[in-house]
Amino acid sequence: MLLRLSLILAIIIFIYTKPSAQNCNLSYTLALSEHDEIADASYAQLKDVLSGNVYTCDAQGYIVLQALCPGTYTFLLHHYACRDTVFMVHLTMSKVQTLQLSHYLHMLHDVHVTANRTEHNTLLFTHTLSASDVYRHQASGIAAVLAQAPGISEVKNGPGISKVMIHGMQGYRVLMLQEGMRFESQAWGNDHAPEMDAFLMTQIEVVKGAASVRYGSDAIGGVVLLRSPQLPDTGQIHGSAQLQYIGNGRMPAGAMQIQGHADAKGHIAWRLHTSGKYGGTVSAPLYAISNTGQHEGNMALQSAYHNTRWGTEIFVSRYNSALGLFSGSHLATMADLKAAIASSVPLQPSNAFSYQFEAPSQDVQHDFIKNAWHWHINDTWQLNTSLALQNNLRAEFDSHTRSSALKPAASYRLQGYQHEVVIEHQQWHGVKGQMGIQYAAQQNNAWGSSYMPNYIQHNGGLFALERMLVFKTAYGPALLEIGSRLDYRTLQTFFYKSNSLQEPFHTFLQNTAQIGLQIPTRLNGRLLCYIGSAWRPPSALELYANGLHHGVGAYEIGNSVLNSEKVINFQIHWTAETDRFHWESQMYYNGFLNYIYLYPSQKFALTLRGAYPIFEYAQTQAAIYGIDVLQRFKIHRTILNTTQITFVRGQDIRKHEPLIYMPADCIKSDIQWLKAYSHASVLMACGAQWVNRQWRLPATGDFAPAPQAYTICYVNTEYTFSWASKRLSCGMQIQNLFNKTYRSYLDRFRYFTDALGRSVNMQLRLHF
Amino acid sequence: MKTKPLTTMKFSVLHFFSCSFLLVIILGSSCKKEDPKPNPPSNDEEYITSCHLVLTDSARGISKTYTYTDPDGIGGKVPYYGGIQQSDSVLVLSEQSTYHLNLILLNQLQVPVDTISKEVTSEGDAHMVFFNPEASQWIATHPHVLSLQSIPLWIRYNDYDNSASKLPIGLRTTWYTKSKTSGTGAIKIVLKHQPGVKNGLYAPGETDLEVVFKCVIL
Repeated sequence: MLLRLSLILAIIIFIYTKPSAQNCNLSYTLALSEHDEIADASYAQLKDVLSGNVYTCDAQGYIVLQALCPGTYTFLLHHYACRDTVFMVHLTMSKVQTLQLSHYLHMLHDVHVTANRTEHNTLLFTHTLSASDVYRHQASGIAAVLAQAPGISEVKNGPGISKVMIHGMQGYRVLMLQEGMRFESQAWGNDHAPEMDAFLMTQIEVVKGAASVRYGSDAIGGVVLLRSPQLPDTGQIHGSAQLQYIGNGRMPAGAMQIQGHADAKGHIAWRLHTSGKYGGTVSAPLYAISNTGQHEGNMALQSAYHNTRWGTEIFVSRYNSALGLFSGSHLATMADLKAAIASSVPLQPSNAFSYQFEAPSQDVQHDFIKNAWHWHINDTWQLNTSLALQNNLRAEFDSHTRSSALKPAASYRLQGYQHEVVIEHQQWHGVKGQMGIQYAAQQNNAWGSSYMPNYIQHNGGLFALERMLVFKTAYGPALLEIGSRLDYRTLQTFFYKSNSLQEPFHTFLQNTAQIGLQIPTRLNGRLLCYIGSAWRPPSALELYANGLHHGVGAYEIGNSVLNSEKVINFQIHWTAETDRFHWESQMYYNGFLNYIYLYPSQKFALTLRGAYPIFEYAQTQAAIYGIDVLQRFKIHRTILNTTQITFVRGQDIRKHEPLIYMPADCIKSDIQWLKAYSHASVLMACGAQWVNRQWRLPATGDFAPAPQAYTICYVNTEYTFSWASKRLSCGMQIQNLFNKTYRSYLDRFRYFTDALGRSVNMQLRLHF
Repeated sequence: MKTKPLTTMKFSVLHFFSCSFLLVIILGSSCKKEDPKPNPPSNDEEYITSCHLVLTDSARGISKTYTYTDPDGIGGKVPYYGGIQQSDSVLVLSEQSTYHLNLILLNQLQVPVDTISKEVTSEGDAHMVFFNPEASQWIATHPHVLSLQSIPLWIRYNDYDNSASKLPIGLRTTWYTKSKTSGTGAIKIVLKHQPGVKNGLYAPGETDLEVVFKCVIL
């Protein structure tokens, strides 16, 4: 039901459609009455989950929605003192419903509560990716979807391999949560992308800023929260199927979901999901980029049971992918690298298009099992517990070793176990919040010629995060949130040094804290002033790497005396929304103590293959600051303009020079026209992205100068038809419309080849 | 529209945790645990630890061997020339002479010592040796003969791969010295690994070996 609706409503996001069709004249009124403990019903907000529209309560305690079409609506009722509650309403005629604020679970009939959403978020602003952005870019991977949000960049290392960068921070400094649990994959290498099924993880939110109190270590630049769509709670067996075709790489991709629901002393829901893609050689405007195919096949099974007292869910998924690395980017020595960079075209003769690829290549498999339980102790208290097991296998094939097709040059296995128990409470002695215990263990094994040591890591954390009303303004309540956390980590690494086994043991203890004040403002706005801290202990690699980084031509040496990296994040965030205008802006400053980075030592490791430059891990004081802006402006009832601005600055304070690999200034703007009819809608959009040359560069450390500024354009059209309860939508996009030749500063490919040329992509999606 | 009845099921904290921990045990035990201790490091199979140049004077039949070795592989001690750890080595040649060069490449980290040069020959269509690649050119009138620019020396390739285009490999070459050098020059010997992309040119592929010997023609 949710999915059926998501389609059409996703397309009309942020636009009030006032279709001329006669039947869209229904109204829905929710009358709120106040429970003794609840301060003021008029602060309640009702959000249409699929369209994103927010409705506020009037002084009499009514929330009135006008000009609705018949259908099923999913609403989220939000009040600062209560638990967010999701419920569905079937509208066939105008209706009025009443409910008592503190007793969401005992609402009057006709209101069907589908979820008591666990608040995973702090007051920190979360940017939610729109369903249309997700659908349009999911075939290109999670990072490509996330890069649609302001302040987020994509660090590419070839098609199918791109990492998420939030505010100039990536890798160990960005935490990814899949279904609420830490996603554990081999993410330390430049050429390691998040190994996640982008067709399933369609509910994507990004927390930008240091958030270690709720999420633990590594939440330095931000946190990416990825979830599969909510399981159905009503309806017959239904599902969706989609087909996509990415022109550049001639990649067909598809996904299918079937879900159902049954009532048996509660609700049982289930979902089966499968997806895959099969891509071949991609092309820059002037030549093919050889050996860049990617193949992927995934499946997942979800099931949940809940009644009004307790519930449980289980999630099992497997991700499989194999992909080729551009052979001209995988080089043995520094001399090869320099020669490849000096040449304006790839030195490898570019092969014709092929779906097959050879070494260098990678095979990855990721298994994920999660089980979660929740129990409503009473109206105020709820207990949640979840555990997750993960198993990540990675094999890297190198064209350099003998029989490379059969035996990987290096292979890795990362196993992860996590358990958390969280107690959530609603308004209780004037505060609302959560407390919890988290435990995680991780074991990494490497075989073959790897410079990553084996390790076992245990992490325990204890946190509390509480929020309270501090004063009332004319526009609503001002909330204060205070949180604190204590983490303890042990790390034991295993590696050989001069043929004897070393087993050094490290422990790390760290406390983090955060304080945030959220003040409602004019224009339905929210102003957040936030100070938070975050940390990450040095990884096994940063401590004990000692070896050749294959494919990069660098010899990397760890530093066993590194301290934990700490950051204090200051930010001011303002959002505002009117009928015609939506505004989000964020100014931030991250002050780093013990910022860990890899620097060229100007020494060389001599071998018979030539000289390899030696890179060593070191620490410095650094600052990363910047501003993000997102603005949507409705020029006309059917025409919407969206503009995004991302500026990031990084500075090494000790060395008085800019940090390397910071995203260049970027401005993105598009204009879209959307016309909705009673059974169809048409969308057309075009836009452009301007990326400046990165002119703030450190004196040493990069292999090549920063590429020039560039502008790329794209167009998008989508048509949606609906009949009975089915919906069909088809769309076409053209990326890099003018087939522009350019290179991007954050793209590691830029040393060797131009970025991808024009790509004509098509989509067909059916909800049945 | 139907009304949801409140559940009558009794459910205690104890049940809650016992269910949860039971699942932990089931899931946890189904997961095989790996020994965290690694095996002693294995060495890169195709790694070359020593390079021997066996130069035979064709007129007198006398051979001389020049070596460059790195017995402990990457990292550790710095590689050196000759048997007594010299920092460089000078090939001494006579003018107007002909020499046969046999290039022998070994991996001494493997037991028994692996002769990489044999493998290079058998995978000839994926390998090629270049001499002073940035400062040499093919002589148009003589196929597979290279003229070094900095040293008055011509080098003829004597071995070829099994591909259709029969490209040279370069482990066995004949050197023709022309005239005396004014001082000491240098010869850089580079072995490139060019699987699927060998075309007789230096640019494609990855470097397997890169050594520089000084050279003087008297």
